[in-house]
Amino acid sequence: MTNRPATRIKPGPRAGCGTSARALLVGRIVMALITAVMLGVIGRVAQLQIAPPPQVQRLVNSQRSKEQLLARRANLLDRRSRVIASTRVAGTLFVDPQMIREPNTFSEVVGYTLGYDPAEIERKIDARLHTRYVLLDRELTDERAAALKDLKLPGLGSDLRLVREYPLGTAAGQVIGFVGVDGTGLEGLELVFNDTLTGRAGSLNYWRDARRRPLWVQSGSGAYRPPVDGEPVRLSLDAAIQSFAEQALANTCRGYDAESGQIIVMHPFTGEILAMANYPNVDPRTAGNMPPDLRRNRSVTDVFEPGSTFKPFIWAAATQQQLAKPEELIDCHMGFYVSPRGRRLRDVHGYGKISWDTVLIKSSNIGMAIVGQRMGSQRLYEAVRNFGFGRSTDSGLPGEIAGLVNPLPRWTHYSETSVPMGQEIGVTALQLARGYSALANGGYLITPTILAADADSPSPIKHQVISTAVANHTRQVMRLVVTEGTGQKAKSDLYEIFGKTGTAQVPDRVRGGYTADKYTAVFAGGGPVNDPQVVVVTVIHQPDKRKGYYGGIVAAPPSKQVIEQTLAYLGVTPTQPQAPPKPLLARSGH
Amino acid sequence: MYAKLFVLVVFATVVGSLLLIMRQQRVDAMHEMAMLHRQINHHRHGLWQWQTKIADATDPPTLQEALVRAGLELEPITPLHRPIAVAKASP
Repeated sequence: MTNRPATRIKPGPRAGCGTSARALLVGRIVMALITAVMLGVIGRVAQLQIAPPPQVQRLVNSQRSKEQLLARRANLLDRRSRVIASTRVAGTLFVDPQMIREPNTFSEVVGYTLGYDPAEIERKIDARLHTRYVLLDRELTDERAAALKDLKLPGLGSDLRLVREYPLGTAAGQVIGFVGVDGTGLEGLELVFNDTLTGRAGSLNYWRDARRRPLWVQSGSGAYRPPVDGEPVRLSLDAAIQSFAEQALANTCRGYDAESGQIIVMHPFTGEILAMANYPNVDPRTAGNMPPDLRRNRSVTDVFEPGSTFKPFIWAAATQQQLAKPEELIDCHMGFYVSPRGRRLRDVHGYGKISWDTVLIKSSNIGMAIVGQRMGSQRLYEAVRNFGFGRSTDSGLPGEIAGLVNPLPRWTHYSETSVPMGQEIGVTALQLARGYSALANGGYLITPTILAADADSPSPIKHQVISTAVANHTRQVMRLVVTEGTGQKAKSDLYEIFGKTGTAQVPDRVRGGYTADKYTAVFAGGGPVNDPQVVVVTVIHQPDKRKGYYGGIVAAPPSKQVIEQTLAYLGVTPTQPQAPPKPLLARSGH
Repeated sequence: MYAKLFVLVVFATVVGSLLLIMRQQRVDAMHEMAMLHRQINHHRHGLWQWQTKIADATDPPTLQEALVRAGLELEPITPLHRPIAVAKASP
C-alpha cells in the first residue's frame, strides 16, 4: 500500500461539479418524490371523485340533501280578477317514532308546549309505532309554528304542504269543486282546469354540514330545478253577482222551505255565466266529506220540466213560421178544451178569444196547445232542437247533461199539446238560460262559457234560431207578462224587466204521472227589455205548498232582485227614471 | 440552489394559498346562494299567505259590509264589455 501524503487539494476549476451534481440529484429526487406524491394525491382525488369506495360514498351521501321546492296551484279568478280559489302554505307536524329518545315524556312535552292533548298524541303514536311517520297536525297555526321553532326534540319534525283556500266561502261551491289532500282537482272547475292550474315542483340539492345545516348548492346540472307555478284561470263568474244570486236564492229557499234551487245569471251576447248559484250550498273546503248529491252542480246535471217558461220558445217559433200572428185571435174555450185526439186541457183562468200575444201574456195552456197542433210534431221537434234543448250546451262544465227530449218517433199525439206548455221535456237551468239568451240577443243561439271572454275569444254564436224582429217582439210580449201577466212580482221600479213564469208539477218516478203536492217554481227573464244585459233563470224545487209554489210568487221576486242588483252593479242606467237607484254597493246591504 | 428551491416552495405556497382563498370565496358565494335560495322560497311562501289573506279580506260581501259601516256611496263601475256584435254576425 502506498501511503499518500495528506495534502490540501486546491480546488480546481471543476472542483464544484461534484457538489452541484449531488445537489442536482437531491433536487431531482425531491422533485420526483413530490411529483409522485402529488400524482398519488391527484390519483386518489380522481378515484374518490369517480369511483369512491362504498363507505366513502355513504359518508358523501349523508351530506347531500334534496329539498323539494313547492309549486303553487294557481288561482281561480273571477272576471274582474278577484280570487275565487287560492293556495297557501301550511306547516304540518309529524313524529318519527323511531327517533324518539324519551318516549315517557315525549307526548307531555309536545302536548304542553304546543297545546295538544298528550293522550291524543300518545294514541296516534302508539297506533303507528313501527312506522317512521305519524302525522300529528295537518295545519299548524302560526302560534304553534313559532313555538315549534324553539322545541328541539328528536323525532319531532315539521313539513310544508299546500292548502287550497276559497275566499268566497260557499259561493259557487258546486261549480268550483274541490281538491284532494294532495292538491289535485277532484270535482268541478278544479278538476276541469287541473292541468292548467297545477304547477311543477322544483328541487334544490344541497351539501350540508354534519349538523345538517345547508352549506351550498351542489354544482352540476340537475342540482337546481326551479319550481313552475300553475297558470291562473280567469272565469266568467263575477264574485259580486254571484253573491247577489247566492243571497237571493238562499233567502227564497229558506223562506219557502224549498228542497233545492238554482239561479243562473248569464250575459246574453257573450254567453258568459256571470253567476251560478245552487242551494243547498257546499263549502269547497269540506266538500270532500259531503254526500255526492249535495256536491252536484244541479244547474247542469239535473233536469226539470220547465212548464210555462218553455212557452216563449214555441211561441216565437210559431210566430217565426207565421203559423200564428201576434194580432190573431185564438179561441181558448173559456179555460176548458178537448183536443181532436181527446186530450182534456184546462187553464187556471178561463179566456175566450184572445190574441196570440195575450196567449203568452196570460200563459194559456189551451192557446199554446192549439197552435202546437198547427205546427205539428215535426216542426215542434225542430223548434225545440233549434233552441238547443236535448243536447249539451258545450259549456265545459263537468257533468253537464243533454236534457230530455224524446226522439221524434217516440212522440205521441199528446206531445203536440204537451211540449208547447213545457211538459214531456226535461231541461237544465243552463239550457233554459241559453234559450232565453237567444230571445234576448236577437235570436242567436250561443254557447255558454265559464271562462271570461275577451277580444280574442271565439264567437259564441252557434246559429240563428229566429229572426231578430221575432226575438225582439217576443221580448216585448214577455215584458207584458211582467207588467200585466203572471210575472208581476218581477216588476221593477228601476229597470224594464221581461220574463216568463212557470210552475211545473214534479214527475212521480215511482208511480208515473205527477206528484200531487210537489212543484217546481221557475222564472226566466232578463233586462232591460230594449237592450238586454243579463238573463236570469231562477228555479226553486219543491217549495212548501202551503207557503206558495207558483213561479210568479216564489221565483219571480228573487229574479227581480238579482236583475236589479246586477244591472246597477254593471252600471246600466235605470230605464225607469222616476226612481233612480242608489249606488249598488252602498244600497244592497244585508 | 436551495434559494431557488425556497423561492419555488414559497411561490407554490402563495399560489396554493391564493387558490385556497379563491376556493373559500367560491364556497362562501355558493353558501350565500344557498341561503338566498332558501330566503326566496320563504318569501314566495309568505307572499302566498298574504295574497290569500288579502283575498279573504276583500271578497265582495266583506267589502260591502265595510262600505255600509263606513257610510260610503260608490259610483257604479264599468259596464260589461260587449265584444261581439250579434247583429252584424252572420249565422
